[in-house]
Amino acid sequence: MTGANRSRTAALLAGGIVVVATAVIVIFGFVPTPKYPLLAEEPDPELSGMIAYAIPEDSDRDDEFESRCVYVIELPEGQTNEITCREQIGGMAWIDDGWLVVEDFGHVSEFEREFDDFDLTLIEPVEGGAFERVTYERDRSFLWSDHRQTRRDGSRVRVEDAGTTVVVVSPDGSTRDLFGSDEAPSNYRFNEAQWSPDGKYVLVVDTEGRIIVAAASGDPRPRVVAETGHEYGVTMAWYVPGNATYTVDREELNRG
Amino acid sequence: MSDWEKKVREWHAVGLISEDQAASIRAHEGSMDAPELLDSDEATGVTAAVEAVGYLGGALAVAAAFFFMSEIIPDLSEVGQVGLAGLLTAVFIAAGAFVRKSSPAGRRLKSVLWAASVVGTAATVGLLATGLFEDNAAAVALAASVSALVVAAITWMMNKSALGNVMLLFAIIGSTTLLIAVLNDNTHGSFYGLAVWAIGVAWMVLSWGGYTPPARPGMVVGSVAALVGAQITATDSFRLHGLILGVITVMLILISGARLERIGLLIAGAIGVVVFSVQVALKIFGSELAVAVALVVIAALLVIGAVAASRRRKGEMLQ
Repeated sequence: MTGANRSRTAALLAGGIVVVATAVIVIFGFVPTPKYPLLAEEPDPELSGMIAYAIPEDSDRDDEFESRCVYVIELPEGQTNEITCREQIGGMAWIDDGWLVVEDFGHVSEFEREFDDFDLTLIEPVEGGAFERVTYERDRSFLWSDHRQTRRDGSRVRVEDAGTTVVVVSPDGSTRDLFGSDEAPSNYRFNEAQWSPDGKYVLVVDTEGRIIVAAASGDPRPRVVAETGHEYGVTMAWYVPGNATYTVDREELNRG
Repeated sequence: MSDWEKKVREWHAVGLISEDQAASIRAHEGSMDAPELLDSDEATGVTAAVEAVGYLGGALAVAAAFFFMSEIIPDLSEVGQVGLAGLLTAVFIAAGAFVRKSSPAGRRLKSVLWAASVVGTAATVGLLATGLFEDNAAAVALAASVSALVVAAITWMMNKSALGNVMLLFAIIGSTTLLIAVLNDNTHGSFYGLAVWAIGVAWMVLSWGGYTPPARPGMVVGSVAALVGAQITATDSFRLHGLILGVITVMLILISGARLERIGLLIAGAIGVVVFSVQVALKIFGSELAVAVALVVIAALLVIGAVAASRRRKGEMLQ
């Protein structure tokens, strides 16, 4: 092959490879994020209670402690209210009387200068509401979503298939897909799932920061109850007045 | 007396070539050697040892500068950080321009300095862009990568060295993948791999065609990029597609290496054989024992192929 022929062949080959690869990437590579309707668009009057969630605070604060804000969604309307922003909030749960209890590792909290790692903060879920502090040295697993992944009948909800499918695992071990997305970007997944207190719904959060509620039986009809905008670090808990499932007893907390 | 001159004398003595042929070979090789002798390290008085000591000193200076900067950069304002990085980059660019490329050592030093300037440009623009697009990491990285691409292209055009070739390819790959991320951050990860693969193969072909000199390192680095791209493609639901792409790429590299007699390509292809054959065997058979058997079979085939090619070549030479 002469030099001129080789150059021409190389140019055609390289150009062809680049054009074909570009076409493949444009046509097949762009996978849209799964879309779910907002709760406001498809309201469900059967949804009740309050969903609390905590996310990292978007702020320009330049300190070494991450600040997190607590929000409460009122159901069934889906109205969201900011409750408080505090440094280093950890796990979160509802108390049986409708207050929130959070792990609060902030070393300089706004109402206590010295805060012990064994202390928990109780928050009245209204904006600027009351705070209390209790010392609690026992098992704190009730503060985390793992505790809320098993229903009273023993069914567990969890995410599978690399986080792209929400499944329900029955006590006998059988698995049922609840909902999920076959076609999604590779970096899309559900981060965690938990039951509603009445066991009729599951609450999940995805890497888009969307808090999604879906019915556990029949058509799941997943709907977005809040768009937090945070890929990671979203913690949440659901409270239904009069239903003590997944709540912690205030007297139990006070006993430490 | 050079090696080729000894060979020419030997071949003429045993009657393999005539006096005229020997004279022609001497004239040809002499004209090839002439500029090399003029540009040789001996002619300029630069020995390999001196060059090595120079690089060692340079590496120590860079390490000292790194520690120095890690101490002072956190205390500098954003303008100060950008200014310091920009100043260092300018020093690298100027030093590279100052070094003469009349000797191989000079060309190598120039390519090292300009490679450092490419990295410095990326760092400078990255620091500058962080202030502008602080919430968009992909945009910051793209700005840094594109600026590095511009400097890499200019310096490569002025000094077509192997290192310059590698830097230019890296900058193209970085800019392309980051452009995809900025245009649509929902792009499946495998398609970034496909982009890297396409650029790698195109670079390999363009190097073969003489567009991206020097050809030999260009082809090797392009083939490595193609293999890495195929590996990145082989994830999630595109695992099988990526593995097939990897196997085709390995075959392409090995055939090219054999036909063009390029040892670098053969080594890259051999590494690709090991990497992809294990994954393909695991994908098909799903057990480590099967992988071991597959490796033995592939190794046997390669050895048989090499022996057959060698015997064929010997036969052709005897004819």
